[in-house]
Amino acid sequence: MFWEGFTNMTTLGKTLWIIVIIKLIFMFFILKPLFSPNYLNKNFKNDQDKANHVRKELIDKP
Amino acid sequence: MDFFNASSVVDWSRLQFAMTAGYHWLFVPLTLGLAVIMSVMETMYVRTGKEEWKHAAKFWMKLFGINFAVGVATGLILEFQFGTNWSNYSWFVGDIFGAPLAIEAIIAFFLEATFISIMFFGWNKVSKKAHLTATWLVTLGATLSALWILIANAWMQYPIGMEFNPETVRNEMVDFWAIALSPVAINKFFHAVVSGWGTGAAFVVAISAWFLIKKRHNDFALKSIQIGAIFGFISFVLLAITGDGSGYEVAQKQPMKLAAMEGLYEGKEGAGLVALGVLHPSKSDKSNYDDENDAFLFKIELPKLLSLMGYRNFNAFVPGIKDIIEGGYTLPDGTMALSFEEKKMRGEKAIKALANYQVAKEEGRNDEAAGFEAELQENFAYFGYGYLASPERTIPNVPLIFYSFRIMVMIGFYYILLFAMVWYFYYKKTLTANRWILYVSLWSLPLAYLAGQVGWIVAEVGRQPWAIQDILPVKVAVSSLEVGSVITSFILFAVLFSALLIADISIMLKQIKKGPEDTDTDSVY
Repeated sequence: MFWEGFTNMTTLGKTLWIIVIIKLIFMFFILKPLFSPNYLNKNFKNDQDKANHVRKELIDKP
Repeated sequence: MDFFNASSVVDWSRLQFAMTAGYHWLFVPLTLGLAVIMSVMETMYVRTGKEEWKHAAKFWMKLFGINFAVGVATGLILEFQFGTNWSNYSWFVGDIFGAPLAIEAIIAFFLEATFISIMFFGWNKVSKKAHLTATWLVTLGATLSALWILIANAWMQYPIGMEFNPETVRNEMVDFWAIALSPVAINKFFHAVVSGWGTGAAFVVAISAWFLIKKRHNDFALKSIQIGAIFGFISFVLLAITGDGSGYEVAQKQPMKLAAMEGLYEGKEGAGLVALGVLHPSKSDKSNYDDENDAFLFKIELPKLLSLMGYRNFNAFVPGIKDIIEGGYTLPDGTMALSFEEKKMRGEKAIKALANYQVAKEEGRNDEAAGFEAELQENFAYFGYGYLASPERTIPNVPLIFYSFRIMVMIGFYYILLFAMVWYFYYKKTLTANRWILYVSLWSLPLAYLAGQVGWIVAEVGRQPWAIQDILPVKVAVSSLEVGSVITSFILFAVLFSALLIADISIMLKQIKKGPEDTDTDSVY
């Protein structure tokens, strides 16, 4: 059923799949790594370092 | 903070989140609403065997599919931002935020993904009842997706079921059910989902009205408008009921938000609900919260209704902004409300205890560390107040919240009336003769979307300055980023979402112009 559904897809269905794929590629291969990286993962090696950083932020921010 | 004065990382991060959440909420409500309507129509088809219902269900299913495909995964942009812009928050909330989102991904997404294929490709491939089951399961999956993110959001408004671990600097979940079944979460879920139903109904009625205006596919449009008007009327009545429930929860858990929604500076017993009003401009400056000016230039008030809504008692005392800052009034649980200064003192104690705990731990003074931990836990409920320099920092943007709330409520009542009138004309078989109601139905559609947007403004701007109520202000939750990088990602997200919205609207308009198919085919795709 799935195979038949995909192979007989109308222009609308194909257009929507193209939009979904382009969107996901843009989100996960451009936006996420280049413009929206995880701040803690990028700057700290392990959970202890991350915890120390956040603790420092919480204590020093006032 | 407003758009034109945004300058800091926290301002731009908030704007970015508001912009992406706002765009995301253009896709979600239509998905939620159309899902139910197409499921109801297919149910009518299975029960009556009439092909017209099948054609109607397939047409709305097609528009659902377009909106779903374009909108799907746009919520992930919000999750990106938690890791980038709100890293202190993300770490601090620990598994409390992560667990509901993981459940959403595992259960709801896979439920949707699995059955959506059967729904679109399975016509004439599976039995009628199996197909109908798949359609309803898609609807259930879409609704469950909303459930888990709303539970996470509700926890930020009313943090419970957790314990702060000073060692890991994270809040750890100690009671999953307290979080999942919190009254704020339950109310928020029903209110948000039902608002999606209302938007879906407004959409179906508007598009059906367009077909009737154009005198095309009249039978289909009349069938659709019938379902849309009844479903819409029920949805907006339920919205009023759940809205009342939300008002009650806000009064109990976030009194400052309620005071801002009502422009209430001086508390009173038997407080009235402001139906219409114009706020005094001097109150735009938060430091004037205790000046002598009346909060309103003009207002029409419904006597005692605010006390009734907030405390289920016509004569209950509703604290105003000044009272909440000064404290000294009796809370619903019988205890005395603390002043801002007392809360700030406790918050500072908690922050200092966190610092001392760490030093004591590092120096091996474990007994002292235990004492500091106890002091931290004792004052943790006010942790966030330690970061606020002055009492006016606890006041959200009153004019924005006050007017947004009134716009939302007025649109809600407007739609109850509109759907009732559409149904009345349909019942009297005079709908097509009264073309004005068709035009009104069509051109009212943006109002349904506006109501959803301003509703979220009330909920989210209303809880400022908090990322987590009373515990973590947004200025501490934010990452130490360069403002330029936030502006860059803001622009990129805006471009992406705008492109998706344009694609969504243009593809849908093309399909709407084509209208429903009169002949059956194997698949709508």
